[in-house]
Amino acid sequence: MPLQVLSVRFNHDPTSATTDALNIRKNLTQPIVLPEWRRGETLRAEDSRAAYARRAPADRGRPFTIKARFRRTAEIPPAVQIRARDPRPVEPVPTGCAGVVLWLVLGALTSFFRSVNALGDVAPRDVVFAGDESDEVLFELPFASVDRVGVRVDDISWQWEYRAQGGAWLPFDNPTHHRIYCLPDTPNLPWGQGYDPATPGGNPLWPWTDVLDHACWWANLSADADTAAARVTGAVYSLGPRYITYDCPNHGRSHYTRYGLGGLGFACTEFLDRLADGPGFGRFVNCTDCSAIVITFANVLGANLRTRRMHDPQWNTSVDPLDRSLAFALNEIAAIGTDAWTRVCPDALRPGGWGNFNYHETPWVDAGTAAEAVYDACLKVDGDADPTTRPHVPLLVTRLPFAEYRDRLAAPGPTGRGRCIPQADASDVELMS
Amino acid sequence: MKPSFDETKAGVPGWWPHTIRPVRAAGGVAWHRSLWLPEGTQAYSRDAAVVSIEVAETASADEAGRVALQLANECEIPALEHSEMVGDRAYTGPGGVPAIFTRGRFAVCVMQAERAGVPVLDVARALDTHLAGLAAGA
Repeated sequence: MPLQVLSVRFNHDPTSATTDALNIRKNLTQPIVLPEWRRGETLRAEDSRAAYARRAPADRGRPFTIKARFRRTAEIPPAVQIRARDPRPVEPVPTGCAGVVLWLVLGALTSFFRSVNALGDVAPRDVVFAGDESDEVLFELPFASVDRVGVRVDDISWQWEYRAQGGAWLPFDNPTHHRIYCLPDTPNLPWGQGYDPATPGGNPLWPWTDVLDHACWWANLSADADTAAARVTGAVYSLGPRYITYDCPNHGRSHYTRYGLGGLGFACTEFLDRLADGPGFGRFVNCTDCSAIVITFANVLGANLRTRRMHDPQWNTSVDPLDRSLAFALNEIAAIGTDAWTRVCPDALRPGGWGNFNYHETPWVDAGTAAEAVYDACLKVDGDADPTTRPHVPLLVTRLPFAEYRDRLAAPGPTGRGRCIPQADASDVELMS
Repeated sequence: MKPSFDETKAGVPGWWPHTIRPVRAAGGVAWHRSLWLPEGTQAYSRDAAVVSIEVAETASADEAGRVALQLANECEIPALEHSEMVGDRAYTGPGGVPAIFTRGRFAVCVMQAERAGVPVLDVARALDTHLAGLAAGA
């Protein structure tokens, strides 16, 4: 073959993501090796991963770019034009109203299942070889739709082509394959983009593709970060009872989280292990665990949630746990992994449930006043006009104003809603493992 | 502080540590986390009896008491009672689940980790005996 692609680099400027891919890693211990595609090493799409975030309007005037290197043999002149295109055939638009309508409907339906090349084609440019191998050459992606598509993860292919002296376009050897993640906004804490050239292997807080694989699937096609957060919340609740279940045996203790010096630590590696059918830290979760899970998987898509507790203002972690006088009374709820409406964790002695929470914790849109909105993957509340009596209409809590949420969660009166008070300080989630 | 607790040497009769997560020190506390299976059970199964053990190794008995209180207050449901069945100071739920206790400068939480019920209090007592030996030798 006279011309070969040696490498393709999507993240070519780790200090910025305004025209290239985000800084990412596979997980806590495994970095993404750059360049992402390397001849002879990255054979499948999942071996060559890159993530892009929708840019601020001010940054959208410049095209996204990639860098690539090539090798030529003697019969190729030292100056050629190179481009890359999606190798799938272009489907012709049918003629006639009915045909066009059917084409549009089928196109919309298949977009759920069929990969979309959000990077588009690679624009042609001149490449000059000083020897057999080129330097890294910058290519523009003028048709990239990253700023419009919302949440996606797609396996894409590029068929590289060249031509010499205005001749016909000729294909390279095999296409290159890549897995591309599209996010509706830049990831927020616990994720970051901080870059320190002195740190080998990169920053452990760069978004993990092991997390993106789940988050993008859960929130597939979400147009914005708020919608993505709602879909992540629903997906996490739906993990019960197969993967996780509310911790009734241990009376609602945290298993995947621990408050530390900087915020709420989340054992992300162990949770991913659980999603992969490993043991993780076991079956059980409580509200704090669920809050950290939603925040970690929603904020990697650009949501900006923080975790926050609600409880009686007099209750705090130095209170003797024997003291139950400050717990707040509940309406009936459907805790994650259960299929029954109870006042939490019924047993032989308490067939209706324990009836109270010491505290509860959820993702919040922002720190601040009680008028702000909450998400909750730990439980569903009754969504009908009277949440205190049956029958109940299950309501997944996504961006619900706190005042409404509290009235659905807590029983009326001073020992219920009167004690369910949002605390002043929200916390960031940080990766503990 | 060099941690002295080692899951592989903490003999709990009838149980073996299947999963041991690395120690992470934060705020002067070394945390140990492990999942234990019954002896004779080789592979982890979601139907198996599994015990979760969390050990916080602190600088003093007072600090261990503070950590145990924090562990106990992570229970969302107000079900814990003071207990004298294990440790220097203990909080347990009905049936001894979970068992949160201190022994010397150690704070411990023993829990059920999968659907199958486990004898949490028995495991906690065995672990307490081991930790008492470590505390006496410190």
